[in-house]
Amino acid sequence: MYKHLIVLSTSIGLLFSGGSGGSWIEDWLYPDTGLFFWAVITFIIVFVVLRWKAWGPLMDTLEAREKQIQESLNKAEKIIKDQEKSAQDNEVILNEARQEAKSIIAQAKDAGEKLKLSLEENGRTKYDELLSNATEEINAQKQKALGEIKNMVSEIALNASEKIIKRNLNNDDNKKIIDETVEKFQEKNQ
Amino acid sequence: MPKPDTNFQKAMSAAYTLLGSILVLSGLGYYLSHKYNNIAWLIIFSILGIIVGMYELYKQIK
Amino acid sequence: MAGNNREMNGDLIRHHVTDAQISENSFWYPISDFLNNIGQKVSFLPDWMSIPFSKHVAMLWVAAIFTMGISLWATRRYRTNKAAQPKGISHIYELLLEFIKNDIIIPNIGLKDAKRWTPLAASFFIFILMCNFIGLIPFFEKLGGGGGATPTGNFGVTLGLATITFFAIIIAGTLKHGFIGHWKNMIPHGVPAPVLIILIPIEIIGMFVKPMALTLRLGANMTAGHIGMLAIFGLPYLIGSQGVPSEGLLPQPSWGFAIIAVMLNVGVFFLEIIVSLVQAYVFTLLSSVFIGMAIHAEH
Repeated sequence: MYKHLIVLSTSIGLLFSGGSGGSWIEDWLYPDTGLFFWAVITFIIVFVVLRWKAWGPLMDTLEAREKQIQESLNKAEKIIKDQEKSAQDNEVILNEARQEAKSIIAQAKDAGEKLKLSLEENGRTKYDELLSNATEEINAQKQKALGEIKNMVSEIALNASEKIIKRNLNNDDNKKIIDETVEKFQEKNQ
Repeated sequence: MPKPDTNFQKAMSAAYTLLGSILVLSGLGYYLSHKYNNIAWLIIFSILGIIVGMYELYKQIK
Repeated sequence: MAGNNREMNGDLIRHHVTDAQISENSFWYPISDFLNNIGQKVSFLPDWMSIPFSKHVAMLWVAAIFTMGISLWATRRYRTNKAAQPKGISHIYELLLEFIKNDIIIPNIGLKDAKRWTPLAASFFIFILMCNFIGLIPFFEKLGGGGGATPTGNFGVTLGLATITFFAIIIAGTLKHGFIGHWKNMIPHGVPAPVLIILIPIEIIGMFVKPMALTLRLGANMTAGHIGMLAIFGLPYLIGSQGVPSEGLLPQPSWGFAIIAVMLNVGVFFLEIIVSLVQAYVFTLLSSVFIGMAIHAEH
């Protein structure tokens, strides 16, 4: 087992072995210190130069652009929010206007109703007044007419009786009798 | 922007570390066993390489 | 003879995947010569610390210059005007940065530390991607002094990149939890003391192994494609040469298989483009995951 492994490893080594001294794979595998130093130095120079002149400005630019995009997005969002808010405000205002219009219409209707009622009331009172006035007038006229009639009747009666019984009777006595008769008549009539 | 596939990256780095540590330490063992003409170096370092590789794998996957 | 053949194959692969000195007829030779002369003058440093200029270093520099050039050109408008609009290649850069930030950094590290770690991750991604693509352009073989060169196919380079990740993990943990807090987080909670004795060494090994795994994966993936393409291109020669070619004669390819090989390799090339993208993504992702683990360690 032990010997077999040695044989195996050496045969693998022989397979890759070159002509002049050792296998190429050993040449290739063992790192050269000179090249190592050069690699480190070269990479550090490349890194420093790129960090200073290329990546720094590039990163700054990208960062600035990212910031700007973020700001623009924020702004757009704000504008959208404002718009939404103003739309809501408009809705509120519209609703208020609608409410107001409704209330105005209702008030108008109310006022109309009231007006109608008051007009009706007024008409009735006026009518009543007119009626009572007319009644009073009629009564007054009637009273007046009655008074006149009474006077006229008394005069007519006086004249007639004067003509009939002129001679023998005293004026005062006659007048007294006639008045009594007229009064009786009036009482009867009342 | 799509989210980067970190699982793939983890798997890749873990696999390369496992393979790399086995190869590096086995290579060192090979060199030493040639130098001192003793196969034990190769065996010890190969086993060490597997252990270190597995440990690093565990550490990265954890 | 058979051994000879194998030697050739081995050298061919070595030629394609490993680092080499710059050859004298290369475009890079003056720079290489100049830098290596300086290196010789400061030779008090130990040998392994010297940093010689080689083929992969040249490719690394080409990749670095391309990365910086394209990045700076693409982002030139943003440096003067903060409100600039993307145009042309800037679109790709914006997309890349957004992708890395939103898909890699934020899920793994979190929004709070995203700004700190995004540049590192983006640099990792673009630089590794550029290194991978550089290796796919055949033209650069001529500049590099012969041979293909994918800088990220070399473990020296990937180890260097992983070292950055290693320190980034420590820095991330230190910045978040304080210097002592970060090391305290390494100790798992809620386990009995005897298990802790086993777990702490495993944690410490894991700390080094995690970046090493990155190193190995990226390097191996970038090399595997090249070797695969090379193998497919070698197939017509293998089938075409009856037996072993005689000395001094070039092996004769089978032209029918050559057409198939070219068609196959066109497919492999597109696959390589995808692999380049995926490996750059995985390196970035794993670095971010490790940094995130240090930041979100259990309290």
